[in-house]
Amino acid sequence: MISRHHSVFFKLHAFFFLALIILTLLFTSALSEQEHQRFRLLTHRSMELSQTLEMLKNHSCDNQNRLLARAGFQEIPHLDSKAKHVTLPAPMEQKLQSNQLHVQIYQDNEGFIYALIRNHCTMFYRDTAEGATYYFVWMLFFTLFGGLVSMYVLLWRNLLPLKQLFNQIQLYGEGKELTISPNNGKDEIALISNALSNALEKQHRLKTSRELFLRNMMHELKTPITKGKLIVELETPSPNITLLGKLFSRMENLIHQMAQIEKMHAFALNPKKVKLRTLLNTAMDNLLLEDQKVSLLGGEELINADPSLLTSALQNLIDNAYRHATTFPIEITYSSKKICITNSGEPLKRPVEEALQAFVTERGEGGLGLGLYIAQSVCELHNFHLNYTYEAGNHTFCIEF
Amino acid sequence: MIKILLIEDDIEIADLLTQYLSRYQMEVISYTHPKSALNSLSIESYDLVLLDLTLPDMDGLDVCKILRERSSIPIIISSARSDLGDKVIALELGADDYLPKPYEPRELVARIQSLLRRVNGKTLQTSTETFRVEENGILKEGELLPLTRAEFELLSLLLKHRGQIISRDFIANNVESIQWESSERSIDVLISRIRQKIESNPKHPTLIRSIRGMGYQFIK
Repeated sequence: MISRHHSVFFKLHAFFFLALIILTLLFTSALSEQEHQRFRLLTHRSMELSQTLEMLKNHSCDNQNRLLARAGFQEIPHLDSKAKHVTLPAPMEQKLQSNQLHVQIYQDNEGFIYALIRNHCTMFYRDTAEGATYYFVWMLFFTLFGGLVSMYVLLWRNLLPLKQLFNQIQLYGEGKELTISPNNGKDEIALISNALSNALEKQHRLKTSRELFLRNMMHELKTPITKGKLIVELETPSPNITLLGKLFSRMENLIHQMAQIEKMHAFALNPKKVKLRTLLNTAMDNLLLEDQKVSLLGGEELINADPSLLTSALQNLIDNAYRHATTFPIEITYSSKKICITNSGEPLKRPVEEALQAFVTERGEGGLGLGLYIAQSVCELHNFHLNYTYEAGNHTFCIEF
Repeated sequence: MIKILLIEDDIEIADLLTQYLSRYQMEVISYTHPKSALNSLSIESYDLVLLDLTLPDMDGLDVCKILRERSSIPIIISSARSDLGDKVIALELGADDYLPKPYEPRELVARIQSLLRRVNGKTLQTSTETFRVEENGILKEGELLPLTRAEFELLSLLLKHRGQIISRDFIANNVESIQWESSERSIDVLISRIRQKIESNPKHPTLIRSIRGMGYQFIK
């Protein structure tokens, strides 16, 4: 399972939220700056209005109105009751006061209104040049926000096939049927997903064909052995017939073990919780071992493993121990962490690494040299470790879970 | 003599098995084609079917299914297909035993004998009565029935094929005491005598039913 911090999806979410926070901060800062600019502008326009009126005091009424209109001011008779008073920040108010200017600023739906107090009279002027609300920052914010969310959704959708592919590969690894539908995307992930799906499908077809081949081969090999065994039984007993019988049995054993190896690699592991004692008892039953030849020490431990394969590994190890033992019983100790099979005997004639290879046998006849190889392969498939020690005349093979 | 129906596509194995099993007083009638084998079941009575799974035209598992639908004859499947799936399906479909190839021939004999012992010594429970077929006679509710040789053979045959409708030809073919030249009337007489001995009301038989134009049926 992918840890949260290593997941591409986690990184994508983190990136999106970080970008969202930065965008919000920038927007707040831009809004604050815009407000500040507006107050400066209102102060400036108040001063401009006052100066214009001062300059026009000797002009005719018509001329005064025309020049005021050119400067962007229009005199209005009274203030609308809905207009709201705008409080300027202290530095701006001080600036107006230092210029002996007594002005109140209001805002209604149409813009700003300056209430100019001169000689105990209050005159109202609407600012026709300024006062529009600046929506640029808001538009920019929403455009960027929309773009960010769209990119996030797009990336998330593009990455989604990776998740599906991961699930499919996991299911395939567990030996389940593939149900991959082609991805119609044109990006790299879709291409990788499709290429991997094709490869898995090809692999699946190969596996199916291998299983079919294995089944047919086994069938074709087993039938002549059945005939051979029947002929041996029908013939009058003689040393040659006995030898022929042994040869057929050996061939059957070889086919059985080869089939086990092939199945091990061709079929998926089917792990489940099983009792170690049950597996050991099955292995001993298959070997037709007498109870007094084996000493079992352990409880009712459960282990997560493919019962059929682990039984086969244990069977081979017990069979090996039994055939090489010089004294009985052979000892099997087990716990939830490991299982050890110990037998007395002469030291190995070759390094254990060599003995674990296929078709390497200690005896001149009888053994096929596949038992330890099967045990080792089963352990590798389960990620278990097969250890060997030889101490005080005792061989010990341990499977560590 | 035990009569075995062998359904096997490999003629060599069929010949070898015929020779080998004859040593153990087992008569093997072999068929390579499953349809012919199924047809023969309506003419001949067998003690057991030995069935291979890889057959021409029809899969052995389908043959097993058909066999079990038609009769309760013991079935041993012997095949080189040793997949766990095949074994489970075969046993689920009604096979009594599964012996993967290559087997020890003596193991096959032992399994046949063991299965027949189980089947022949089995108590047969109908809806109202209990019968037990033994070598020396037939027990009804634990009491030995006073049967003649021909009655014993005929009742054994009916019990063996209980639930099946068996024709008079089939009876004439498979009951040694009934000769080919015997008229159909003699079979009806035998049935009537058996009814007198096993039915609570022979005039209204509930165990052995007459099927007009077809034959007789021992109820399951």
